[in-house]
Amino acid sequence: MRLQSTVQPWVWIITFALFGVGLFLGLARAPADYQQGETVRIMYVHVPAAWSALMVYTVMAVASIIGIVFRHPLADIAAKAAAPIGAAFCFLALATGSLWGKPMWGTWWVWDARLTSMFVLLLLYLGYMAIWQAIDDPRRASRIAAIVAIVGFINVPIVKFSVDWWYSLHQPASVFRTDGPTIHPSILTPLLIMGLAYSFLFLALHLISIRSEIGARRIRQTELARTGALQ
Amino acid sequence: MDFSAPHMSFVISSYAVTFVVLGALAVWIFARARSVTRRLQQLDDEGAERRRKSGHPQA
Repeated sequence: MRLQSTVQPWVWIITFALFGVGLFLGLARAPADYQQGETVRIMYVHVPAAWSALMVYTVMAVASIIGIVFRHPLADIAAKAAAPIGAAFCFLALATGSLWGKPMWGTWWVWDARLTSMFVLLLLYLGYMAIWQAIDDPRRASRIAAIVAIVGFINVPIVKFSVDWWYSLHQPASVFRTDGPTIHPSILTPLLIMGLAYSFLFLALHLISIRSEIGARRIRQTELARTGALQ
Repeated sequence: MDFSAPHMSFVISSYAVTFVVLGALAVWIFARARSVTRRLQQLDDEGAERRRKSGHPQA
């Protein structure tokens, strides 16, 4: 808790600095694309949202494995606290992707492999959160939610490689490739900075959520103990 | 950035939806943290009051 209080302000400072630099480079310095024109600027909020949605789900799956195997008390708290943040990133990836798709593809949505697997990821996030809401006993909820998170992790590589495995309207990977990025540095640099900004935003919000969840469990235990003492 | 370029409404909408969703997420997380902290403080105060009344202030 004390370490968190020390780290927290610095994480926020870095987050705002990265967003400031990323948005400045992306909106004011980076050139328009020769084919997409100004629409390419949607990429600076769409792609980091999609990366972050996958990263957060990976964090949830790893925390769930640690929770199930090592029974670490913080593991399921970390997984539970990450879910709403990941769901927001996933929703943003879908919404901004749709806003990019309409002018570029001529449609808001197609049921192709990348879009569908990303939609499944959003459903997994919502399902995971619904389990925590639906089950009163936190120990039982954490176990079922962890299983869902671990089984659902199979969707993460499907999202990543869907554009390689199936024919897709979505363009193939252009940043994380074995032969290196295919994007010009003038566009790649703000994109990577925005990716880092989203990651630090996740860290900042996750730290607060973890603290809240620990507090909420203390409240629950105290109130249960009090109810028990009264009976 | 050229604001007169075609499809600029899609670009602006993308940034607007991002700002609104991330802003709402941050507000919700901060509000929850605040309410948890307030409730914990309330429980601590009630506990201290109970201990004082029962004559065990250090318990």
